[in-house]
Amino acid sequence: MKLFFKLVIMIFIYNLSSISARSAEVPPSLVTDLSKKVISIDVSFSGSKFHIFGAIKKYASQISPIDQPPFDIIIEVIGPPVEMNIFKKEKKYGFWINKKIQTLNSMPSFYSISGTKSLKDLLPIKTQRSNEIGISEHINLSDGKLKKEFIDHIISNGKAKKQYNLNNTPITLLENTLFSNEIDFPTNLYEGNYKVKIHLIRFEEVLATKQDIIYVKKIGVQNWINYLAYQEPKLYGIACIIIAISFGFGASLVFRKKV
Amino acid sequence: MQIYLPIAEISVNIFLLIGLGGIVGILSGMFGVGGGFLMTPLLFFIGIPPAIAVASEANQILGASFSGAIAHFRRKNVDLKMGFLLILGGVLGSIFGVEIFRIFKGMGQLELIIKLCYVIFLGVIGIIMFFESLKTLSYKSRNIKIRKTRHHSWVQGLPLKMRFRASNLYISSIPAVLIGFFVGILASIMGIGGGFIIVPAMIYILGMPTKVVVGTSLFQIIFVTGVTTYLHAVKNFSVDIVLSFLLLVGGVIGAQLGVRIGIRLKAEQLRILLAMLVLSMCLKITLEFFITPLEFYSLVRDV
Repeated sequence: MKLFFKLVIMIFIYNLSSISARSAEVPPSLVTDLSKKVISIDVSFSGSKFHIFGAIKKYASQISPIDQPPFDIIIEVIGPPVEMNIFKKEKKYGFWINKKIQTLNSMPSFYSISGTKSLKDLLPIKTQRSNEIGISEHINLSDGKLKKEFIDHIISNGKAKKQYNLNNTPITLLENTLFSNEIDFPTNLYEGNYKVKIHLIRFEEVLATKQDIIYVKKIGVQNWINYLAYQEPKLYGIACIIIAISFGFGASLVFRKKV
Repeated sequence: MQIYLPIAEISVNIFLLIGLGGIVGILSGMFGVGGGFLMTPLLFFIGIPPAIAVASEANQILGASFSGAIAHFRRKNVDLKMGFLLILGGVLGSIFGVEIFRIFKGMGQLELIIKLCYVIFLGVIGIIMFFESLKTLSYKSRNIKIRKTRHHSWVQGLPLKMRFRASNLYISSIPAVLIGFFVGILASIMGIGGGFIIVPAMIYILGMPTKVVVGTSLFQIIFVTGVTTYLHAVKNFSVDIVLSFLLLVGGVIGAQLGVRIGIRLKAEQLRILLAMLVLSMCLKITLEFFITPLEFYSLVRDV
């Protein structure tokens, strides 16, 4: 008797799930990969590049309008957040001096966005907000809303330092399925995890989002110096003194022989 | 070839840095000046953050002055007792200066303070140097009487007198500590050795014989820049060893060249060019305060 009940319940559940699967349309998903998982910064680091590859995966058994083009892709690369103080130059007593405006709780140390079309053509602001897509969504202020003026300046500051790339060449979507994108990393990179977010968009709606991670790390002497300077500053200070003295001393020996 | 500076967190051309070190080294070798007051503003101009430029330059001066200090020490041209008083003042000054540095850094006004100090310092040095060299040029043929060392009466009136055998003096220890203190502050805020100030101060205020002046000032400079380097590393994380090292490489070679050039050319007559260079750097930094900036906003990372 017990066994019979179990069987009935199982069949019931199986039917339920298959019905629900049939009734809701499964949106296409994304299959993606990165050409590199790790980027190393050493002494001779002069920027780096990596590729993002991907394809739109549709469910073969399903014939539904959701599988039909037009598809659009947006790719964001978001660097590790940093805390920043914003200063504005103001004229005081005839001088231009810095005045602290506020503290930014977090802003991405790097940001790049590229897409088949520009973000504003693909998604209305409301959808950008609810899906947290776009540079302004990643800048958070310690208190209250950040004025648009500041955001614009933060962005133009980032652009000038090549840390923010908002005008990349458009991505082409081959056969409405395949896409790839090249990302340029500048020399002034922060260490940490860089999120790579790939969004699949159709008719102002985000169908799927895939997230990958690329890790940027300092290696070799670079990493060593950084570690010492911030983790063991006393040792680092003494090391700096010793290096300077021994270089000065060595140089005096070399040049004394020549003279 | 670009090199990534780990603390300044920017990539700079390696030959630009060695070249800058070399040029400043040549100038310091030719004219017998320290070079910190030339190097630090040049580092601002190539985009090194002022805080990093100052602290790394202090470390470079340590290396550049060390061999000179040893040479004078061997020749017994150092008044050790006076040197220790100057160092005492210098270390206190450095601690004070690094603290000021830290406070202004937190307020976001560090750049302003460093640059204001430089405007005043370069302006005064440039003007003095300009007129001195004009005088040298016009009085070159005549005999100029050597200025007699004089003791100020207020120095002699001060208490805590000590005997300084090497300098053959019996004076108060207070002015030496004060001079050291002042130079220590300059070292930590501006990234200079301060030989420019300490040498005339020793001659005209303390009345020390010229024979021991240079050695004693170098002796003081290496200790004060050493302490300054350490304090900046510990309190402000602003010493970039890669930067200091590259400047040292250029500087040491440049200084050797400079000494040789100085012997061949009449360096005294070229001094007027150095004065003009100093004044033009002063002018450039001054203008930055008054010209409407291109970028009103700046972002400073919280450490």
